[in-house]
Amino acid sequence: MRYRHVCPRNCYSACSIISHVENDKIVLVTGDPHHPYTKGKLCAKGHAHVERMSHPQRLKRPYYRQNKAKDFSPISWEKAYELIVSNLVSLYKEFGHFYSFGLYKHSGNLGILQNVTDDFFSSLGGTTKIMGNPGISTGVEALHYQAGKMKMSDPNEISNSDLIIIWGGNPAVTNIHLIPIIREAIDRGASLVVIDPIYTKTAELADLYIQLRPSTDGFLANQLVLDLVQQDACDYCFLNEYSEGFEQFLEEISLQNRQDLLKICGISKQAFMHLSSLLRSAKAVSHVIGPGLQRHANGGQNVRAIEALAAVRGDLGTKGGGLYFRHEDGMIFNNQQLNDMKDRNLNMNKWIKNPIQEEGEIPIQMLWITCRNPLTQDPYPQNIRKHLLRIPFVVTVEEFMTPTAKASNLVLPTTSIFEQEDIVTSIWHKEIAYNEKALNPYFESKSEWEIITTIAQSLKSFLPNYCSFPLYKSEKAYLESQFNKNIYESYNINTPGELRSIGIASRKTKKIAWEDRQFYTKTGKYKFYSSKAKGNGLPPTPVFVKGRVPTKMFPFWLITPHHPYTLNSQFHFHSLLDDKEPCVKIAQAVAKRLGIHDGEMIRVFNAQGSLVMKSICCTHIPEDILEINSGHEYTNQLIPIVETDMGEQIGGANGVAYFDTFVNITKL
Amino acid sequence: MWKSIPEPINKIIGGVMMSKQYMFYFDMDKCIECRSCQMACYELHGGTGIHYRTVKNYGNKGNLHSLFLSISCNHCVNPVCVTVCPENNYRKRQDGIVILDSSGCKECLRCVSACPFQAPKINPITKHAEKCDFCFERLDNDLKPFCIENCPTNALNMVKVDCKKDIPEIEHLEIPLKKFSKPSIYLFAKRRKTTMYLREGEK
Repeated sequence: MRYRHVCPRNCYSACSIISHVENDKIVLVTGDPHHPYTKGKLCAKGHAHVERMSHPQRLKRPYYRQNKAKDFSPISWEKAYELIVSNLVSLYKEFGHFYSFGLYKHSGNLGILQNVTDDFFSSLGGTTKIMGNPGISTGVEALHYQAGKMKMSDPNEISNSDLIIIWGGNPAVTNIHLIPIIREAIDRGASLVVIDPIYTKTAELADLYIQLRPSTDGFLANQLVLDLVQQDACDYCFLNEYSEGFEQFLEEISLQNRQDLLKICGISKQAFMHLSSLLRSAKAVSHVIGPGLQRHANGGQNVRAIEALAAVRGDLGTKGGGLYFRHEDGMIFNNQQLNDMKDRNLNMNKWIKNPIQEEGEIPIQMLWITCRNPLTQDPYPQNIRKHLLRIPFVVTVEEFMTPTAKASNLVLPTTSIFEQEDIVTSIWHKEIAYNEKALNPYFESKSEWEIITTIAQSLKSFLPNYCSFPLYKSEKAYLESQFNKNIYESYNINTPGELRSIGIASRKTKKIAWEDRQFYTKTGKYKFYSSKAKGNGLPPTPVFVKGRVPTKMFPFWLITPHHPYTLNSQFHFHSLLDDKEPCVKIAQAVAKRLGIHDGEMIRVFNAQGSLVMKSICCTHIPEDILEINSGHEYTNQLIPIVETDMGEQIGGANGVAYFDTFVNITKL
Repeated sequence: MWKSIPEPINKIIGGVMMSKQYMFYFDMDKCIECRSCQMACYELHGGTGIHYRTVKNYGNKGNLHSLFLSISCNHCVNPVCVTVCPENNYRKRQDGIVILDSSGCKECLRCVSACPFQAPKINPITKHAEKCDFCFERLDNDLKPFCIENCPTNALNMVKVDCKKDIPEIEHLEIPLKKFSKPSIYLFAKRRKTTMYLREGEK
């Protein structure tokens, strides 16, 4: 038997997967060759889904401990449900509302079935949600100011580009399906430019690689705009008819000094001339923005500056041109757009920063964590641990005993993609896909829908009027109830069953974003001057704002990019992980100066944390940068809460400037 | 020089002629070390802890210019494994594929130490030597080997070539492949050049 699945991990590709089942066991997974973006190819992680599903460390039953200082013991689901419901009931009896019940959820599983938890919280007439999308909200908000909405062409359109510029992204590691599309463009004569502080695997594929100082992309983009103006290479038709505020923007950037390229960005005149000549001669330019560059204190402004460059040259809305960051079209199902007006939204950054209960504040007495491993992935995990210790009842829904699960009171085992029905949308390509259930749940694990539905049912019997969560007979029925007219129209389907039977549905909108050049602003024009940005305390124009720089005491940037064979802290068991412990890459010159040998254990530290790890000496790392792959249990202890300039309007908290972490090193 | 290289096979049709054999084809210019080939193969063979196929980096570790090579059994023209196995478990098929009947393996490790590419490995569960069989059963069903099917960049493919004629040497490539047993792997050397501007000015 064959079943269709979708990888729900926090990734661009949302790959369609086909499982081959024999005797109630999956013997193989393959990619679905009919998928327009992933084209039947899976990454090294995708091929490890089966190993993940039956991994010996996977949770088989619920675990509980009343006291966080004691060990866990297995308990039955009946007992677990009883604990949850009795806690909820007593919280309600004590406070008269559910604001002391908190949700801490993120993107560990992007399938819409997992939004059942958000749905449940929204049905309680006011709860507390810890808000913030630390990794990505900065860029999302940035792209709303000038165009009014974040849109993106079909990524397959990149193959029509003449020039592809990748800013701070490494698709060869994090978005491998984009590589053959870029390749197609190159084979047609296009050039690939990679602009990145670190020489990446993607940079190796490039015709031109420009290394710049972290967080200075905006200055380079502004200077390129000035150059286009000076060389008379702007799209005046676009500027005159479809945009407004260009004069103010131009006035602002005219104050900048071209000579500062070297001082601010570390870019030579020659490199700039090379890039600007490519930019001037290309017919259509695609800008691909990686999340890396917006993880700085000035990250949002840098994203705005790059978009402005695309606009000035007239690349928005053209075939083979445009800006590729991500899109919002996938947020279309009912439970992805809940009305949370009654909820108390806590800004994640502020919440983590201050683990002490503030006076007059309703304390969180029960915290529900799902699709998230904050002790590994969020900044300043030392403080999050304090929160988890203080909160009397912490419930974590997980497949593995993650560091966060280990810090909880109750751990509930949940189903893998092969053991539940689901629908996964993408933030990158135009497809949504149905995930079928191929196997019975692993041991006692249950889908989040089943967990939530059982709790809601029980809660309704105790407090009949305080939980409006809709009860459905099955996962399938719940998923069906999330469809709406917009989905049927956008994806050309008539019923939920149709999506189930065809498996993959493509959005039928135009392949090129902004083709009509009608922007989502009041005037319908592209705004180089955004009064909305001004209203939010930001520069009104996409002008470069200086970011943070290392200090004398902590002279290194700590950049923590993704590991090629894990996804954040997921797939931690992967057989391709040579180093189970984190390693730090340092420049050979620095190592020589400090007398550090390749492979020597060194201390990496800052005011917040100190870690001992193996050093790897590299020639390609700038002397003021250290690199550690993210996803290891302890790495984020070094990462403080430094906010980016944007994100609050989108995610309820500004993004986290993960890459504005400054550290020092010493021999042991 | 590259003109003499045959086009990779797009579709498998029937068997091969006597003097022609299947070979893996690998374009170092296209590999991004995503290791999908390696993991697909690993998964296909049950995730037993041994990788028939691996991706090696022949560039300097931690330095610029990596040189990735996805390699498994090379189905050599003169396979040493066939010669050294005392149980005669190895056989070279007419289409060039070297296959191993693991069931007769006595774990003498001769093939393991003789193979210049470490292709045969001992399965920790069965204690038998195992290696890549070019997915010959898939070939018989007109399907390409699973690793090739999973390469997202088309770096890994297969060709059908006349093994009597020499495979062109790859110059300036310090991979000690050609010195041994006529391995049947068609390599495309890296030819892409990146113009690099590293950071300048005050660090």
